[in-house]
Amino acid sequence: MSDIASTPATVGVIANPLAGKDIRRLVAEASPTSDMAKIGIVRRAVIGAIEGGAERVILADDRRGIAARAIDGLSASGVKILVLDEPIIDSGMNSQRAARRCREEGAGAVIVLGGDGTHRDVAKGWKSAPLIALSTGTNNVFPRQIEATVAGHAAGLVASGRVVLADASAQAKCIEVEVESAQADDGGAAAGVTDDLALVDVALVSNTFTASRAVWDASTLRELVAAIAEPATVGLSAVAAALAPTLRTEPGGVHVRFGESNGSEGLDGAGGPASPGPDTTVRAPIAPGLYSSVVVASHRRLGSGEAVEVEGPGSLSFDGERDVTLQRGQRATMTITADGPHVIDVEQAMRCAAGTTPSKHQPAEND
Amino acid sequence: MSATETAPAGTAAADPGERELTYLGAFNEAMFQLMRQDEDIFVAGEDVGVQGGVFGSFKGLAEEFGDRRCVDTPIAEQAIVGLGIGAAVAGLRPVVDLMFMDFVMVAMDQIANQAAKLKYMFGGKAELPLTITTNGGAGLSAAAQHSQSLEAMLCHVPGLKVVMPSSPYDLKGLMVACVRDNNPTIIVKNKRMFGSTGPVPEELYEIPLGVANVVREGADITVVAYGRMVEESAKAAKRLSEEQGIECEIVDPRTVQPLDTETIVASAKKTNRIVVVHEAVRFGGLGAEIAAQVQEEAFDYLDAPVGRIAAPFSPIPFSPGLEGHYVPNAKRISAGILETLGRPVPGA
Amino acid sequence: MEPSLETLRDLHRRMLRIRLFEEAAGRLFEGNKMPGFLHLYVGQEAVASGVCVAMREDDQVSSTHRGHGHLVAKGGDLSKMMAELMGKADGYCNGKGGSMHICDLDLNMLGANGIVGGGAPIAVGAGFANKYRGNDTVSVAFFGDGSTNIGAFHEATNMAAALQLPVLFVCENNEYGEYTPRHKVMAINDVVDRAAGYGIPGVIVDGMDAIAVYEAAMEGLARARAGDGPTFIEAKTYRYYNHHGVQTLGMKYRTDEEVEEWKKKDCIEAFEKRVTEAGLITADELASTRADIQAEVDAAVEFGENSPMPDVSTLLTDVYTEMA
Repeated sequence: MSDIASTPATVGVIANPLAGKDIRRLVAEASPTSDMAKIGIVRRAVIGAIEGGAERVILADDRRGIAARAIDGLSASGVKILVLDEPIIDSGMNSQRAARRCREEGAGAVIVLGGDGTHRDVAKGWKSAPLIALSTGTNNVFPRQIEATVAGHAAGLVASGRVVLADASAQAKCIEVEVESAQADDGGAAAGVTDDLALVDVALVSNTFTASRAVWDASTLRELVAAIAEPATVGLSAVAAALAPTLRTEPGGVHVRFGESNGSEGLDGAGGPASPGPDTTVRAPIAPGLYSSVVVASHRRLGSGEAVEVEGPGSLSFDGERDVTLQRGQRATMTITADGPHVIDVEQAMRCAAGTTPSKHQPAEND
Repeated sequence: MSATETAPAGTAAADPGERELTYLGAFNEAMFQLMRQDEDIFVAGEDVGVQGGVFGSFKGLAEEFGDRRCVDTPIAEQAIVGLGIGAAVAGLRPVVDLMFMDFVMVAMDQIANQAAKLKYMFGGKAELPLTITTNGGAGLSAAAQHSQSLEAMLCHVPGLKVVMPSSPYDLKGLMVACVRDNNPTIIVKNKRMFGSTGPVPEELYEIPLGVANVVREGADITVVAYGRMVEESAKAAKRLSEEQGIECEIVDPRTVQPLDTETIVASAKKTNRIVVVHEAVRFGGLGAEIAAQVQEEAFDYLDAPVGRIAAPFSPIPFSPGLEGHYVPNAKRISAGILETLGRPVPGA
Repeated sequence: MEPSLETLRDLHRRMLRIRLFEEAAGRLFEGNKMPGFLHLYVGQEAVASGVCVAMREDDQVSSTHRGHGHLVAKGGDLSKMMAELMGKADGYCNGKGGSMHICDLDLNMLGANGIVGGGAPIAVGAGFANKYRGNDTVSVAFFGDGSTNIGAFHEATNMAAALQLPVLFVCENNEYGEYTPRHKVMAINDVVDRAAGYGIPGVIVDGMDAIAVYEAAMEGLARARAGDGPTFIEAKTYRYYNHHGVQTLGMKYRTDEEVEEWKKKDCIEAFEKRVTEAGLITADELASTRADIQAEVDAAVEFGENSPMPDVSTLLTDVYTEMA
């Protein structure tokens, strides 16, 4: 993080324009999030941030002017508003770029609007970002439902130093992923690895293509690594939660291998195990309103830093969205660490500001 | 000069018979009989379901045929006509209703740019057995947006057939022809005639489109009129015959597109004088087209310029005090006839 | 829904047929061998192909003024298409329709449409007919972002929703209505935001990814077939060429940089890369498919060039269907 003293109290706002609009409105029961809803949320967050002490607000713009419309008239309040350059094509890359810019500009807090996928993009741009995670996406394990006005206020408090980040935040876990380069055509050695990350879960699915990205067909699941496996959430991680609940505040996670018979018939019913033997059937909401039964061959708790290797063919889904394809024999390694974003607890920040919680005035301890 | 009411020419049904129906009743009966006969026929439009249409045109159909075949639509004329086009291209035989002829303007793209042109644009490969039913005509204080006669606009578009029935008998037979036609047709009922009665055969019969009806024979002057103006012209003709011994020949083209120019011209050649009567405004109306065709075909036969008796060039007023002077009536038609005959016009 | 190898070949083949046909048409247009307006579909191939591969043959489509792609994707005969674009007697419409009215009713392609938004009501009508007949055929309305600002589109979509008709609405959002960027003429950014206003589900899909489009279309078509009513898919895509004609760069209304950025996502290149990397289709096979299609296109051009102009005697035919 930059030296807050030398820069104005800066709050970043990153709203993924594409969040809450994907195919899970068809294949599951997810609700759409309109631009108008996002504009309102961004505007309330900015108003709150200014109230909380932000002197400068950075907004990631998009092709559609969500930011521009959200801040209409607000610059009159004397706060500086910096709208980042309009990207040419809307994609997850824009959230990554915007997160990097927020870091460069010395943002003391970043408000993120989106689902798990958007938060992952922000973390890819700025892994340890001090962020407030607001859900406007589809699967919302990482972000929370909280009113944007207060979320913005909390961001303003933290960015302005009125509340010390360490007093009101906890560092999230993340899943660090190393993807081996695909085997060269001539059969030569792999050229190297590509780093990637997820905040909630990484799954190996049988799909050859990333296509419409979302994962909704449980029969495609092969392996799952979940850093968050909380029973009261929706997403692939809910499968892990049904087996070995692991809170976001606990170290490590869960590794699940799905059974050979996963994907065979008889899985959609709520009945018992679909196959004899050690496999167990777990039923969980893998997308909003979509409960699926999956056959689990085995699962185990993962310690922090413990690596899990998976091998193609298939695709890797990050936080519920297919993003990387693995060719046959191509490997990827997942490791859960405690090095994720510093997630600001809005309620805690507001309590600190109200003086009801004394400041510890020192950075939070990591596990 | 003898004046005899003749049986409608060119009809499949020879005898209108004794039974009388209202204009609207004849239409309604046609719908029932057509829908019973052909499962591919349905009706869609505003309030055409259980309400049976705002004027009762489709009364009782929903009870017999259900909401599958009597479809209440949104108030969305473009989509109503589009629904008919798409369903017709897909092989059905839709009847879509536009509550007032004025609303044709709302749907004009679908009517004029789509329905009228598909066949030609597609090199003849599309069949469009689409019937648009609507209600035109002034005289009910419905004012400027619910009273117009816009047939000239529709006639101007190649690909459409435009039908203006003047009696219960014609309405039923022409409606049958429209629905059975494989081209987009627009049939315009006249709102002031809904309660008019006349003989209507019970059986299903068809009056061919594009064939005029000589409603009254006469030797002195030809009066071309369609829709409600046939009735008004007949009144005028009766009075002129009784009072002045002038015998008018009334030609009702029934369809204004295609237009039976042949019958009109033949009559003009016989009487040597011709007037055209319509509710629509005079400028650019059917009268202009008919006058032009008559002078092209029968110039040497004409003893006088072709007369036009039509509405003045203004929107249709609301007040009966104004509207009464807007739409041609028997009195104005008589005056127009006398003028073309070079006779003195009473009160002129 | 994992596409089968046959589906992948089909997607590739349809996209490539569109691309090579359009490029040939563009060359003819440049050489003044093609009268009238030419609205090329290049860049958007993944949308028509992804949707049409997911469709059944009896499913209908209504199209737009940029409609060649939809006919090719529906299986159109390239020779008849090329002849039609050249205004020749052997064209699909005997030279009476041209680029903007090209159609093949036998393939249930209900015609390109010169009126923006004019096709949606017709697709809804076809959908009505399908429901009326009780078959599980679906009609697909292709339309651009621009047409969603027109009344006919709203009327049609609302009607399809109200009557729960089996219609799939596919918006090809290529960011421009003719020469004006979308953001100048719409206060919303995703056309799909309108779907909720009609009470139908809507999703955004990457229109440069044929498999993504295919997946979404399969879902939308399945909903319609099951009697669950219309679905709205917004495919984010881009046209490489100008609204009309064959220019790509140097426009006042868009930057060259933007064109180049979209071309990096080219649907055919990306598709070929993916399937070869996955070892599903060899580069040799892709090349041989391309050569086959190029030969088909070349033959279509030759067919078009050799076809006579329509006889003047046909000028007045086909205005009406003659009734016995």
